[in-house]
Amino acid sequence: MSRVCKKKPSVCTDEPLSNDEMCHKIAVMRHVLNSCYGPRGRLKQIHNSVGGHVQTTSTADVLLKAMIFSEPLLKLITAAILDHTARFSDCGLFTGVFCLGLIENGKRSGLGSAVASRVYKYLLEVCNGYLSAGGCDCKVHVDFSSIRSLIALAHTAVTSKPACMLNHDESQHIASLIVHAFLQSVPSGSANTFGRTLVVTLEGQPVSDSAVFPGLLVEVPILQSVDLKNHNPGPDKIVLFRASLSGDCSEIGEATLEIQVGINPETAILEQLMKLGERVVQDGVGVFACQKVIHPVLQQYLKERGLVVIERLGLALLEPLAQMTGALIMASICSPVPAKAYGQIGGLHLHRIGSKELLQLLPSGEAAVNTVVLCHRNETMLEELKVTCQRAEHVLRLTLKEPYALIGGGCTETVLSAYIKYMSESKASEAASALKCSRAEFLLATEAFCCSLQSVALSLDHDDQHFLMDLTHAHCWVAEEDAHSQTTTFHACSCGLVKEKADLEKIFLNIPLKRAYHSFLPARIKSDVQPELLDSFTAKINALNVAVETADLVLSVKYIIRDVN
Amino acid sequence: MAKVSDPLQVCLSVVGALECVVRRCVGPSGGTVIFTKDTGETLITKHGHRILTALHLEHPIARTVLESLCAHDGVTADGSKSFILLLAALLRGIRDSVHESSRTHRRHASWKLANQLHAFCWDGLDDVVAHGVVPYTSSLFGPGGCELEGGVLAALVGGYVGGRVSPSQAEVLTPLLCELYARLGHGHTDGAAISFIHSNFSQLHTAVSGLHSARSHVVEGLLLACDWSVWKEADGPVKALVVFEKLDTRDDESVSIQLQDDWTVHSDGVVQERLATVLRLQVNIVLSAVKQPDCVLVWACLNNVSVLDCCDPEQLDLLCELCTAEPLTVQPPMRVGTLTHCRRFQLGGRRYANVGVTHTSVHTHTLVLCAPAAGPLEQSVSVSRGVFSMLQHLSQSHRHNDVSPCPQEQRLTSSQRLTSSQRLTSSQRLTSSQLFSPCPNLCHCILNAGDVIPVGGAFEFLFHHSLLHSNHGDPESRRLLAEAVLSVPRSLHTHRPGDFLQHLAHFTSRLLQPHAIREPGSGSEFMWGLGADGSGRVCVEPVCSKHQLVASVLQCVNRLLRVETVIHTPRSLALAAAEDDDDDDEEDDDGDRT
Repeated sequence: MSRVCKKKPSVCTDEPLSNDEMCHKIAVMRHVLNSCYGPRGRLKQIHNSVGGHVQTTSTADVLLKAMIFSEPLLKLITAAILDHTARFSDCGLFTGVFCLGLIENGKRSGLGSAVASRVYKYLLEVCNGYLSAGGCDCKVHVDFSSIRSLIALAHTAVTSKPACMLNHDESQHIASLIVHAFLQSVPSGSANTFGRTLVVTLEGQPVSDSAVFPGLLVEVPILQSVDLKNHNPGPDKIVLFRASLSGDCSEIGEATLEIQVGINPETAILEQLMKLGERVVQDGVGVFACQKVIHPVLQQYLKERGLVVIERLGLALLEPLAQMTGALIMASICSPVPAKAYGQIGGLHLHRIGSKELLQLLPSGEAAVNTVVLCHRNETMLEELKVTCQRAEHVLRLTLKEPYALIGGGCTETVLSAYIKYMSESKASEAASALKCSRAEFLLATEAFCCSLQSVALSLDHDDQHFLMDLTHAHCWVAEEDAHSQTTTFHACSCGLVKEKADLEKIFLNIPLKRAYHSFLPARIKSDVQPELLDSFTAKINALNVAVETADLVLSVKYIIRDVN
Repeated sequence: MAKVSDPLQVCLSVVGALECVVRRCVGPSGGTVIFTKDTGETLITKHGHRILTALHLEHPIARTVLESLCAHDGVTADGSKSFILLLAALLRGIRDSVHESSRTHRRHASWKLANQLHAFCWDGLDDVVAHGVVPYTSSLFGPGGCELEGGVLAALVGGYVGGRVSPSQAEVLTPLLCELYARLGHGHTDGAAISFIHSNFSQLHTAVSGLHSARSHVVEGLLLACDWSVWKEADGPVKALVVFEKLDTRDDESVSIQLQDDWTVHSDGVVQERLATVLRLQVNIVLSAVKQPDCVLVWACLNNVSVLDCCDPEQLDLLCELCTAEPLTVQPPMRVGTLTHCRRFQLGGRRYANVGVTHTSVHTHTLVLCAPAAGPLEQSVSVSRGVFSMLQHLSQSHRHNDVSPCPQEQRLTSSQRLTSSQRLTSSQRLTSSQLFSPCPNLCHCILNAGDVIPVGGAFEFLFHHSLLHSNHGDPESRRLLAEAVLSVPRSLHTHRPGDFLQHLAHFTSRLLQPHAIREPGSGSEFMWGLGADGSGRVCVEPVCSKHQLVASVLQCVNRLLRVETVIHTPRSLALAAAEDDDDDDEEDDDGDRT
């Protein structure tokens, strides 16, 4: 009989946001995310107290998964960020910094949560309307006929992760690899399933050794490679097995075994395997692959007949292989392989990269499967590089649905904040009456919203640089302090779209006293310069919405009740 | 062990504590409460009933209140927060009114008041609501009144949703739920669609976290949260086989692996036979509740059959029911039906299976709800579920009371009454059956019977006014109730007390001139003053649930005040009751036993 315990009463926190300790925790979290943001972001090292694996990262996804929060509000924000990155891979830090900024600024402005939430919602609609409209200046059409914008997107994604430790040439190389892999994975007309990109990592090689290979790369033991060298390089038939071919009785599955007297089950099964092998050889198969183990006798038999045998392939490789070759994965050893189940490969190649011997299986037709080999100097960097590359590829894929990108480097945020400030000041009275709040409240909340947007742009600063905004196009400028002459020189804004002109008036964003300016409508840019930094459009729109929605929710929390039983 | 203190005071302190929690969550501007457990579970809610049930209430009085509240919630599925507010205000009123009397008389006085209120609940309440509130409400949406944008349903749903989620979420949810209802009912506006959604809500929604809530939408057909294991393109109507077990389950010993000398070591005869049977049925799709073995997948690949496994069995049951799938007489049990379409479906980077079914009365659609994280998602789901149970309650109460002048006639009578409201005699008295008039068409029914009223205090103001001017029962208890009833709109406007007074003044001035109501435009004006709460949309709530709320609170007050002593007993109550009938923990008037 179980013991009946008296339940303890729940612990109740009243108005959690007015609690100093809570505010401090929020500020700490904001600092953590803030300091990771951008190409100059500070790295975070994650390790537990009992030793073991150490991770160095500045990616929100990796960082937040490793951290454990005790506050329900922070848990909520973390969950929102993680769920966002799970869907879109990008803009996790943006979501976090913007959401926490909205919370802090909203609280600081002293507005009721309901008013703040209504105004935020209204401003969000303004943002969404502006960003989805045709005449939006921060939006760039991704032109698939040229590779420039794709390269820019990939390059921005790679350079924004300093933990990859890449120099300029290396990041260029990686960005071009990502675009290459992406373009290969896009199916051509006939096939309608999207291709796959697999990643193989190699530690200790220089980054410049990274490459993209069409088809699949399978690691093979060095000893085997000798036989493979004299294999013919042409197209071949392939057969795939999911069932274990180890010859153990226990692998057959749940069934009643009925054994005739005088028959050794192991021998019988081996004979069965051999028959299978014979049949396969008769059918002229060149490659024999199995997810699990293959019996050594069968292996030997097949090798003698000149077949290439690949065992212990693993599920992660088996399915792309089936997709690439069109082969059916056989599940049973008890029936002969039907002719339909054989697949085709375009050929075999043996590569030696670093210490590893890799067998490349080439696709025979249009199957869009390819493998990226990533090399880096050590394990932690390699891990970050792998995450970054997968992220960047996802960002590129998102452009297929919505072929747009947003200008990066903080320019989108400053343009957006200037636009919102202008729009809401020009329509303050109508908007305020529609939202059932006073004009002053509306303007205060707008200020909080714009500040939060600008603070995201300011998060790019980690070295006490000066961030400026010009008062014509509202783009973001970074001043490189020159120690010798007291002047600062600009060439272009941080996204590279606006060039320095003499009549461009600028204000400092991170010096509070110099921040005041009259609202203005960001002027359109008339030039055909391509921006150098691009961010994902789809991901950022969702991030913006998720951040506002989460901030609304957090601001509206009046009680936290913790069940301590 | 009995506590020697004023029972009224004890009640008030307990109810006051509950009120404190609830008060901040009232209305669209109210906040939310987060419940967390050390196990990591979180619940984010503004829903009064959920908040109060999630608290571990220990105090016997609190438990009594919760019991009454649950009973009330079972009837109306609405109004839990108002219940607590009204209860607290009423208790406070009673305390203030008995304050003058001496200590010994105090208890008696409060008893008397409770009894009077209870008596009023039985004979005066229906009358006051019918005379004081219903005539005004029916004038609102009647001919010449204001046309509701998006129909009365949208307003009703808006009223419900507005009090339970943040305004921005409500803006998304309200039109979405109406769309689901409209598309599912396929033009028929009767209660069938409501009860269908109500009983199958878990199968008719899919929750997606990580997307912002504006991405929520309604999808035709059923959405199954799994990807096709084998996918073969098929157009048009397709034949589907539904299985709930593995196709290779063997329940006898006859199937086995035979190790023999010749090539066919074993072939699973029965499975092959089964698959052959399936193939003879010319089935294009296999929907399975469990993971099918690899050999079935290989078979499907070779025979151009799509396979979807690991489906939710309840969804499959619903699917079978909708397409009236016939059971087959083979082992394991299978059913065959026809689907209108089957597709792959992408949602936030995950693959789903989308199948369409035809049914005579309902047109199956699925609600896709999106939210940034699991907590808010759960909130949206439970609110959407709540909307349909509220509507279900409403449509059922209509069906149960089948006394019927037709809606047209009824409108006529109510407007006649309006013009001659002074001459109403008791024979013409409206009874509550008019509130629940039967009508096959839910929306029209609500509209014509005049039993919806704008949210934001309209009911309370009208009720307050008519209580003060009615002549039923004891004036003292009526005054108490009238004062208490205002506490609900007052807490709606806690952020700006000025608004509350302004509304009240506006209302009273309107009510003092009865002829103004008759004018066609007056109805809308009367409503616009209050109805729009932030969003600019009109939201309404049913009068009958408000009526029920007042009745429940009066009964609860009576129940609380009749308790003299609380006795704590270590014995289980069920045991004690068997031994001695008088031994009751909460309503024991016999005095101390300790």
